[in-house]
Amino acid sequence: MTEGNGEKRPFIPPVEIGQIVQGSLVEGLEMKLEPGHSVEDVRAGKFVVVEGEKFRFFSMVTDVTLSTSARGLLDNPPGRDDVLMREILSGTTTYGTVSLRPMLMVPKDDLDADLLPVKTIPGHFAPVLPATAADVNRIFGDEEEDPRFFNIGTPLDMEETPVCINLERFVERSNGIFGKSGTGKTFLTRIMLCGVIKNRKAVNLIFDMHSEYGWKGTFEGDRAEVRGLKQYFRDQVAVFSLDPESSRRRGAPIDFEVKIPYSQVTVDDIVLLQHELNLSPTALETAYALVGRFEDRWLSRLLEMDSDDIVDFSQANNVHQASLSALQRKLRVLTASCRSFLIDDTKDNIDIDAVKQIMSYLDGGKHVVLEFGQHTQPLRYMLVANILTRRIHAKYVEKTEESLGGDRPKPLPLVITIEEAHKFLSPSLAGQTIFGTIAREMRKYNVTLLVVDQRPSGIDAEVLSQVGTRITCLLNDEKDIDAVMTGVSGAGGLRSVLASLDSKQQALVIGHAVPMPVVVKTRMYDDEDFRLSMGVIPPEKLAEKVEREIDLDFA
Amino acid sequence: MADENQFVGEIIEASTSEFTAESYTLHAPPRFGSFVKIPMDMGSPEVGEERTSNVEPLDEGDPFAFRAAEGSFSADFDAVMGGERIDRSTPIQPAIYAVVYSATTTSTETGKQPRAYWKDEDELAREQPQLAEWLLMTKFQAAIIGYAQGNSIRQYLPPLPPKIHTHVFECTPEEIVRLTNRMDFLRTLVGFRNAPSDEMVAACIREACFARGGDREFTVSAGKELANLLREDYERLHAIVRRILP
Repeated sequence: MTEGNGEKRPFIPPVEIGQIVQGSLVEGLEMKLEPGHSVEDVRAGKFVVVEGEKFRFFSMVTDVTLSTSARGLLDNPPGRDDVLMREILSGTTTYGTVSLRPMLMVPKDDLDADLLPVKTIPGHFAPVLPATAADVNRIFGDEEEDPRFFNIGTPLDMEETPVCINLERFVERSNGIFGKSGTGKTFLTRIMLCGVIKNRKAVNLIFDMHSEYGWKGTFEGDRAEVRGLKQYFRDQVAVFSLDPESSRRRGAPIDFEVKIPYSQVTVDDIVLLQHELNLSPTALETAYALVGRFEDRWLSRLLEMDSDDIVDFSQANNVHQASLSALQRKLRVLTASCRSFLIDDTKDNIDIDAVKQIMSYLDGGKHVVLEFGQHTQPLRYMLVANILTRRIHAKYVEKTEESLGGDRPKPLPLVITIEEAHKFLSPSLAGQTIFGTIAREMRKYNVTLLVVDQRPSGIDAEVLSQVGTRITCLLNDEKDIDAVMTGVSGAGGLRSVLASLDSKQQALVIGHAVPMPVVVKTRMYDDEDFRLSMGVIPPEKLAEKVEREIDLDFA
Repeated sequence: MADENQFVGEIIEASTSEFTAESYTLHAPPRFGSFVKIPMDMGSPEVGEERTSNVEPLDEGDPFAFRAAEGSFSADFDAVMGGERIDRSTPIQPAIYAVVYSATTTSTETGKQPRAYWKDEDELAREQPQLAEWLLMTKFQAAIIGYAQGNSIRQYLPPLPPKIHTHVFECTPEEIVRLTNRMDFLRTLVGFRNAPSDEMVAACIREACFARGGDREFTVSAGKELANLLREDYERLHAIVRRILP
């Protein structure tokens, strides 16, 4: 580093924040805080480096404790105005102890070697230093050097250094974005989707329940709205809508209106709705009997039946008459509420098949956002998502098998984003719905889920354990925290980190796409820097910005 | 402080850890808790200390010895702590350092008890000059905390006790600053049994602080050293710290 006058800037070694005094591989390390450091400066989730004798240990702060070496002190603390005594005790008799969880280690004689999982611990009195930008880049990769990496934010207390996620690994598995309502899940999801789209690592199908991803989204703050994916990637994103009226009202251009014919509705889709429709198991058996008799026209035939038809059908097919009429009643309610997009194709012709259309976009490497407009009730969302996904899944299986046969290239990985995921993936449904299947095994067929949810405890544990990367904003409920930590080693320390996140713009990232768990202050979505990095600000604007920054530097 | 070449007492009893001296002036011994020195060369080098005289006499066998040479840690520390007035070209004079912990005024003759004269002080001095000259004496006692040998100060007991009839001098502020750059002597004082140890420690820290022009940072670091020494006895620590405050 040289300054303008050619003089070398003196090297300032990072200030030691403490030394290791205790620890075990299982429980983690304990650091005594250096007297000069305030306990309040050490926050859970902070990223630190322990300099062992042979290895450097990259670690995370998981807990902070107040300790004292004098028992009598606690019974008789110094008075409020006894400033000298307080100053003397601080750092000597009273001191901070910080729990660290070592996550990765690297040999000191070869710092460029592969990062190793932690299999030992540093010796007594090993110094602990705050992580530097070089450490963060070393672990999380550098966006500028390798396009696989995508900046998602900065570590705590390190405003300038980006933490990157490995997008290639990210799309390899199903992923989850969790956090209670209002913690910035949707923003994080947009950021992740932008990363995936920009780096062309996969195609996305987004079931956009609240119409927040397509053209523009809402913003809780001083700005009323932010740009959606379509405004960022005009040619690469297609917006489909179930409710074109709503899209028009919002001034959001759409590419395609989705209509679903009755013939596409299967019993599996109804199974998914059994809680919402309050259906009994008998009703489902009845539905199977209908399919056995009428095949893909079962739904329109059922809805047309009058009371005589019901009696006849139940006698002929040995089903319970009351159950049949209950099923009819409930499905009539369903179809009535969905009549704007659920079309009886025995009566009205539907010229374009939504699934085919979506598939053709996905095949062309374009990303599809399906807006639900006014249809935000979970019932409709689940029905449509399930019908479409089931068929798209079938196509993907077909294509992947063809590619295995050697005839065609492998299809682009597909990431399906679903919100309110616990409704699809609850323990009672995960075994039956297509989303459960995708979460468990679809990696083989290049289809993965991006699950966005505020209630991870409602998701089946087996599905959760398959989630590769978990990006978790603040969660308070113990059950939800437990659920997110399913299948994470060393979860004990991370739980406290998770519970102490800020309520906005902070997330704990664990799993497949990052080498070690890390707490990030997530980057801003849709500010100038973000638009620049997505390449949507035209080059002349870029030049202007650079000029402005130069002006600032010399001001 | 008195003329630095003027001695304040003469040793009349000595041991490895403390000595008793007769005060040069009646009723005016060095202050309680003040630093005094007895110039004395320890003679032959200690074990492991054999070296030629022109080599910097830093004792490698003793990690706690430090030298006040240019560029060393303690020299930097001196500068920080206000010791920059020290002329580093002059080597440290070989001496034993001690802290005064007690003073008494008695009759010079053993077993004789002074009687009351019922006069005021000036009258008495005029009428009975022999009292101050011959019949009364002030003695003071000091706890030995370390010594200087070669060019380094060691904060542990010297190999030899001070000699009887050698003179005792008060330390100059520069010497006190140099001597108290390290706090190892506090352990000696805290564990000293023959004195009101809490009072002595507090008074000695006040003296050192005064020599540094009332440096509060020094008081805090001395307090921290005490806190480490007295981690098992918070009440005592508290008592001493309350006495350090000016």
